[in-house]
Amino acid sequence: MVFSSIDFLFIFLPAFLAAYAALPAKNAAIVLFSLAFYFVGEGWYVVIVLASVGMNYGFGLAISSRDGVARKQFLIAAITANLLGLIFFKYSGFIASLFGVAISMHLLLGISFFTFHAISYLIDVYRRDAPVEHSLPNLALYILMFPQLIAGPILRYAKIAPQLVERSVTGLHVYYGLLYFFVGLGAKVLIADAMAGIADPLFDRWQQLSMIEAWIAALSYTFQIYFDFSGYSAMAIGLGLICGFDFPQNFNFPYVSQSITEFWRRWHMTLSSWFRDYLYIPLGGNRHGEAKTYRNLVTVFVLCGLWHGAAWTFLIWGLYHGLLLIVERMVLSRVLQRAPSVIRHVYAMLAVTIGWVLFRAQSADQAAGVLTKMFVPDVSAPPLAQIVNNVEVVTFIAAGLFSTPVVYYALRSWAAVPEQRPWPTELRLPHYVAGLTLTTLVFAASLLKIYTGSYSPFIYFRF
Amino acid sequence: MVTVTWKSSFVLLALAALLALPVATISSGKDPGLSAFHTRTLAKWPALEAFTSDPVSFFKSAAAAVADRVEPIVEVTHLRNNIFLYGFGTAPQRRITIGRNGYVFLNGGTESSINGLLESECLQAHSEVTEARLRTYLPVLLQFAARRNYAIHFVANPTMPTLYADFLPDSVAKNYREGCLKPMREGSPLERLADIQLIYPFKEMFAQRDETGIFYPSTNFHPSGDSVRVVRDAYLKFVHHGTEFPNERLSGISRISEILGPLGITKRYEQFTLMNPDLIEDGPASKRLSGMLSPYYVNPAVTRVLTNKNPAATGTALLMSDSFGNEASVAFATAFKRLIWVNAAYMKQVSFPFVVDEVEQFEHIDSMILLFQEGGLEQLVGWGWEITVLHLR
Repeated sequence: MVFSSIDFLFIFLPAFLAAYAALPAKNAAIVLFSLAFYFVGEGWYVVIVLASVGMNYGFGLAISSRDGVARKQFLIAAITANLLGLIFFKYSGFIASLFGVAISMHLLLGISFFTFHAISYLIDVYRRDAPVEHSLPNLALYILMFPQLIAGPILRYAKIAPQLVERSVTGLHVYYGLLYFFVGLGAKVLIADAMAGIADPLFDRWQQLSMIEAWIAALSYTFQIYFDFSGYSAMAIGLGLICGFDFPQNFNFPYVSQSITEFWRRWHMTLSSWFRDYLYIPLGGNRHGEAKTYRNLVTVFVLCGLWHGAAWTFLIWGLYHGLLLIVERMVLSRVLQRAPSVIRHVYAMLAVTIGWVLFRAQSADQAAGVLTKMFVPDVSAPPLAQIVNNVEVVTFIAAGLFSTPVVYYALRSWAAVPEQRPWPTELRLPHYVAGLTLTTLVFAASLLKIYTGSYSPFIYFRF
Repeated sequence: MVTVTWKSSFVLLALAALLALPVATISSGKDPGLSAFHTRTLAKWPALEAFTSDPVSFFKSAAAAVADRVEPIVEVTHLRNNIFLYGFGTAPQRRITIGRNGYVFLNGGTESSINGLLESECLQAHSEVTEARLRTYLPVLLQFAARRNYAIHFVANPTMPTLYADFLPDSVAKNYREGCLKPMREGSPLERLADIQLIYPFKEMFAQRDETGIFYPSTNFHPSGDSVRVVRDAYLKFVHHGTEFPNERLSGISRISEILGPLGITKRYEQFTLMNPDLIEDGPASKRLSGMLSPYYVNPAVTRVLTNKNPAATGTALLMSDSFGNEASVAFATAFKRLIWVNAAYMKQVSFPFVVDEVEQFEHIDSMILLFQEGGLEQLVGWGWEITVLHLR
């Protein structure tokens, strides 16, 4: 059940909102609805998720009650147990294929996300960054909360722990929550799905693509993945706000970056910071010389690639980004600093777009094929009208505009727009009315697409 | 402590009520209309027993059932289609192409086969392979009719994608555009099959085509108007029959588009129909024949028996066709004393010879015409093959 589906919007969401408003036990309501949410998508596999919560609850208590070596040993055991679960469900088929064995394993919905949540909890408790959670329902709430269960953002336990026990839902929470949710819905349905409608058929017939088609395929996927994932993150943040939670921002206009280093500070920020704090820094970060820094970067990004999926293309994508960061660190950043900003933007977008081709491709052959088509001129370009219709051209333009902060800042002066806390205090009623009107229009336009059952794949579901 | 202010609770409850409306107002009484809207059987509500055995499939089925019926799906879809067409100049579905000069083409039968019709009308129909297959199997049908002592002729009806191929826009893939232009530019292999009684009146139609809608409706898939007369006359000339029918006339009426209308685009277009006051439909006979043929059909058999009051008309013809026969039957009936039209759509496999037997029992026939749109000629191949395997030739 994706957030942009009819069953979620018109059955699950109203039932949840009514229950959350009416029931006194708010946390219990979220946990129960989260279990129902998972049950709808995965059936009795929900038992495995519950077992994971139970296991991590026990490990958390064990870690917190010990010191020294024993504390560390329990942490290692706990992380190993979580990673084994992740490897079993997500990577066993890939690993077996390396040995020429074919295994088909059911990929548990959201396993990458709830495993990382669990590891965040265990490490934060181990480091004493947060107190151990004595309430099993509260830990279940942190790990299973349906707004972020299947696609993030990845919540850090230390930051969310206080909100599990004390938070409030005011009119502004609901207002900004709805703004985030419906704007995210619009990004997903109106832009990402339209881009998917262009990208998917082109990637399917990648061997016949002309140069212009290969570029349109790459660019439409570049926009698709951004609006798909950032839209879903915005919906999650909105639902979180409605429940009184402050989820962290996950995207900060990544396509305005001027380098890959900057891109990773703006793209999937909760994943980047998770890897930085729980892997890169423990590995030594940049504190032990250039060589080890490069080794750490490559390790982190290869694992980041593999986190996205058990396939060579993801591994190559991770390696590609790791290597780009090293090259930037070694020499490129100094060169870029002297270049005009337009060159820096072009470089960053080109590098990112090439990366998305690697990421999107079903195989290394397909990736190499599309990239070759992109850079080898041909003479047989079909008319543009054959590749995209007028609606898609308008959507392309909108995607380009909304990828930058231009529209956001333009709207901000006369309408309340989605904002993280602390919310602006200088806004007056017309700002809120304008914000609500715009949001209603976006929702209405989204409904036009949702009702007609238009093509709506969700990329991050498989992670 | 989790606190929710009363204002927030009220807003959340109100929002919940609003969001629940589209599903809460679903009514089972609307299923037949929605089935027609979706042009398919609606997703069924899952049985409760399915929940225990496979809850995920149960929820998927329930979601599909809700998605088919959510309110107000018809109105919202129509609004979206109008915005696409009038706001963006974009066809509301990919299987539809907005052509030049206001012509609307149906390039595919469904959204899962968006160029299926262009494939059959423009590529397959005019291929050497189709020519060879027709050359193999049409003689089988000729023998079949000869053994029954009547003449048989085959009419391949040109369609809008070939007749107006030069109106196809650049958005149509080059191979389809080239294929559709082939009959106009270099002729079709179908024109070489006159020796085995196949009439492909493309040249006659192209010579008379216009853009007023009198010849061919600009936004319909099915032909009507003067184009139907041209097809009929091509047949009559082929069989050395006169083509002067003084009482026949074209009647214009403002109607919504056959292609765009079901999508909620209700703009009206002037469309023309061939009329002949000499023709009377024999309702009871049509009903009786449909009943006789029903065992051979998946859906109820569609037949029409027309009697011609014109004293100069002679003979009884059996016209078997696809849906193009709906208009063509009136045009062809003008040339006979009596015409029996049998719509072959939804006929079960290996039924053709038995249907013909039933019609012969119903009434003596003097000639048979098998009329299909150019992309539907494979049906004739199939019938020839049926007769071959049944050793009925």
